[in-house]
Amino acid sequence: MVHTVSSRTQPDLGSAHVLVVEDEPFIAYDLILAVEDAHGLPVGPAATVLEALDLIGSHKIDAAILDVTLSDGTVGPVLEALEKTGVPIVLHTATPQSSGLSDRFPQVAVYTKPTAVAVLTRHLAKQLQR
Amino acid sequence: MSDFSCADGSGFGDAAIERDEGLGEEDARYAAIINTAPDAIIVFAVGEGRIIAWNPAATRMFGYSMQEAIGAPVTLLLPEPCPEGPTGVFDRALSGEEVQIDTVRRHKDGRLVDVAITANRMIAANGRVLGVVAFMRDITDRTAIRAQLQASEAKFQAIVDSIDQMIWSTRPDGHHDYFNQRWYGFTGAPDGATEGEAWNDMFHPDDRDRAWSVWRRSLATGEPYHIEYRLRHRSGRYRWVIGRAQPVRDAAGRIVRWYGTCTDVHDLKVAQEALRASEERFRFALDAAGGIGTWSWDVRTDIVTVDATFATLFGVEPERAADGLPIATYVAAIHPDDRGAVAAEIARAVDGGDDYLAEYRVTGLDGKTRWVLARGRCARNAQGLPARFPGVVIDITDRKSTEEALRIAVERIDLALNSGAIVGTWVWDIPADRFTVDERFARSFALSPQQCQQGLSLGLLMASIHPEDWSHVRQAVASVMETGGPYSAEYRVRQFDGTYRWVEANGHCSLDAAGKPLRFPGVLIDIDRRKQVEEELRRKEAEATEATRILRTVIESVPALIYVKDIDGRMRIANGPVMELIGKPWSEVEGRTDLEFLDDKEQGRRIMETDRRIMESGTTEELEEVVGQDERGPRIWLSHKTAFRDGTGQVVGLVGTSVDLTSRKRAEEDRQLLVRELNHRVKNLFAVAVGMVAMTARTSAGVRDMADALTGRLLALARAHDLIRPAVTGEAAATDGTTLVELMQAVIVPHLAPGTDSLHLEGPQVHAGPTAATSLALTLHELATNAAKYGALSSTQGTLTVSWQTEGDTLILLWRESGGPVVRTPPARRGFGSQLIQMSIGSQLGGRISQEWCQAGLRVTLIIPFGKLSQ
Repeated sequence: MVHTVSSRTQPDLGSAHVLVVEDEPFIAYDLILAVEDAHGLPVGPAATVLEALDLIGSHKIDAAILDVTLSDGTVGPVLEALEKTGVPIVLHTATPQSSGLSDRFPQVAVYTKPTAVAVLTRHLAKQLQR
Repeated sequence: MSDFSCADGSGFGDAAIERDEGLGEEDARYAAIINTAPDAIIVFAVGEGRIIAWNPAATRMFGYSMQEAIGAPVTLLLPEPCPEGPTGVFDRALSGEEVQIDTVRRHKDGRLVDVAITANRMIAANGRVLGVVAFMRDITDRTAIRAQLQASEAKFQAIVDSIDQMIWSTRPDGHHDYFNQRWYGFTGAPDGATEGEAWNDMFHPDDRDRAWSVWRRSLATGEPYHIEYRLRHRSGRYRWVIGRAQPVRDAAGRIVRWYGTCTDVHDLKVAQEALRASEERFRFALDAAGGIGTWSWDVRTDIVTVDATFATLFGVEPERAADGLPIATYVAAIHPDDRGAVAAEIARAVDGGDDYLAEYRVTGLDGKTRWVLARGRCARNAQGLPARFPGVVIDITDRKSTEEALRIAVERIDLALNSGAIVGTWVWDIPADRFTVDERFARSFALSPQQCQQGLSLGLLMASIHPEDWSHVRQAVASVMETGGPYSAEYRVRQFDGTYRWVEANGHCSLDAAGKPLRFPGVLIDIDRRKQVEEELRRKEAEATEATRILRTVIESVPALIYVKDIDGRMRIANGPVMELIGKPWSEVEGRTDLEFLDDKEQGRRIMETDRRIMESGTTEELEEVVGQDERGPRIWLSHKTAFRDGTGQVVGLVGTSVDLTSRKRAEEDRQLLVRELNHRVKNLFAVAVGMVAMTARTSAGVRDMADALTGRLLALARAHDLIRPAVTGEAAATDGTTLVELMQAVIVPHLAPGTDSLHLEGPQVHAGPTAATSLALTLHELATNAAKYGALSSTQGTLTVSWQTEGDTLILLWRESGGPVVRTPPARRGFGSQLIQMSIGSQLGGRISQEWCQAGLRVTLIIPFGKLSQ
């Protein structure tokens, strides 16, 4: 089902720089490839909050796909940093309720793992097209 | 011979009194006797009584010579005054009487001579009366005895006259010869009167025959006699006396005299009669409830319960009184003049708790006014308030004659008042061991009329008493017979039907002057009902005590908190678990609030707020509360609290139970945590699997290649998960994770050719946390996969050596392959595998990785900080 959706309409990120923060290698690379598939330019993947913040400081970021629970804490500081820039963000998490981030950042879209990576890139593409 | 001379001067010896009749030889003998006789013999002539004969003994006795005496008048020797009259002895003798008398005569010199005179008429052969001959014996020598006798008689007289008894004496033949002054005073008989007139018509006609027959029998047998009879008083009325008589015997045992007494017992007898009459009346009153009514007034509800007699006396139809009426109904029957005083007396008894005693007039159902005596006592309840006011009234209209009955009745009523209905009365004559009982008593003791007639003894009555009660009844009886005074005992008495009934005996034992028990009257009260009530009460109390004990045991053995607090939240009852939780002795908890005895004041305040809310609303609540603390944090309780009401429905406190929820709560939290964790992991694993599938698809040459790679990776993931699962699910401590050896064996061994010995693991025991284990497992899997495809594990000669050591806070792991196909250059394109390794070691574990393609084979060095490794 998920794959059906993703294969039918390929999203288009229009060369946007998409930050991927994910500590699980398989997922991270899947996301990177998904961004590439959607004509985006992946930034990352970052496996920690620290790496993510480094990337934000050194790269142009147009959108972001963020895992919530990382080895050095939750992704909150990353969200805060990106929030100021107003770029579209999706949270990709296995435990959407436990972090409390969705309360703090209600405008941020939350997708529960596992979600097909194309769904995430489509969401971002839509946001970017506005 | 010449000494005895006649008046005519001739000697008695030879000159006869009647000369013409002459004297013979026999006469001479008589003269000789007369002249030598020791007694004075004097002859007084018929007519004036001049002395016509005088013997020598008379001269010796009285001093007169024969010459001086002959012809002298009859008064010659008489003293002045003469005890028996101037011519008493002479006249009586002349009239034919033989006079015998002890008296005095005058000597010529004037002194008095005690003489015993026997005087007889002298009659001639032709029947002519000649005169009187007197024989006089000098009894002066008996003077001393006589004086003594007189003195003792005077004393006797004084005694008998001072005794409040009539005294008399008789000769052995029953001839009365003496009565004391009391006798004359009582009977009005002339002083000095003795036999005959003194007894004439003295007995009551009804008693006469009986009295005489008793007296005659005593005279005949010599036995003392004792008889009660009515003796006529001088007033003409008869009075009851007790007559007693006793014979006095001489040394030979012959009766010489009877002495008797009469005691006036009339007043005593009348009193006894009155007593008997009043007792009968009392008994009648009891039996028929004729004169005694009872009441019981419940002061609080103002309901007076009375019996039929009371109602009748107070002018109320018994049917109407049956259900109880206010006291005003009965007060209205009291005579208006008495009403005020009675009301005051009742008020005094109610207020002061005194005994109530009043006499007043009431108008009965028949419209007649009667005097009654009311007696009662106001009983108080535990709070000291007047509660019950029972009592009796007795009809005393005929009070003059029932004064005595009243006294007894009141005493008995007192007894009856205290406990119930009198079922009988007894009088025990102890010396005779004879019981006199009334009909009700006999009935109570199941005694037949025959038994009662034959006489009842203590032994006989004891046989009707329950054997178990014998010892204490005997003891009580023995004790009161020793000391006298009141007696009280409770025991069971066998009825006609063989069942036993409880009675209470109340009596009084009186002792005689010597301290011997004499009389022992008493009443029997039926207390069966009371006993039943007492028994019931005792049983209920025992049940209540047992129930309390059981309740207490239950409360103490329940593993929950059980407590009762009063309306102000002060602890009143608490079981052991409560005390354990509070951790303070009961003395510091009792009567105090949670705020006072709990160390955590915030907890105490919250509990009190809850309790107040429940008590104010009067409801029951079930809620979780936080009370106390243990090493892991606050303890949580599930409390069930109910407002506690008194008998009137007023909320007076709170009863609560609390069950410890702490461990359950914590287990639940732990489980939720675990579920969350597992959920997270499962989702993560699926996400990883999804990514793995996508990645493998992108990097595989064909379906077969992809299936192999994917299977290998999924298995590695599964093995890693197997190793770390105990830590995740809490089966082992979360920090345990797994060891490097285990991890490597799990991941690498599947890649070895079967039967080869090409893997060497060397290193100390190092733990890997769940996260690190997954990363390591995937990394090692990728390395092993490559080795199996292209490196040392692809050839049977190749070996793989993994060694590790710790250096400071890092782990250095060396992967060395050898004996495999010759590696010429590193792979042209860095495949996904190496990217994966880079990401896992570099990003996830914060380590570094270096790969070296040597001639012998691949060498990989991993440097991982311990901090990450244990995650």
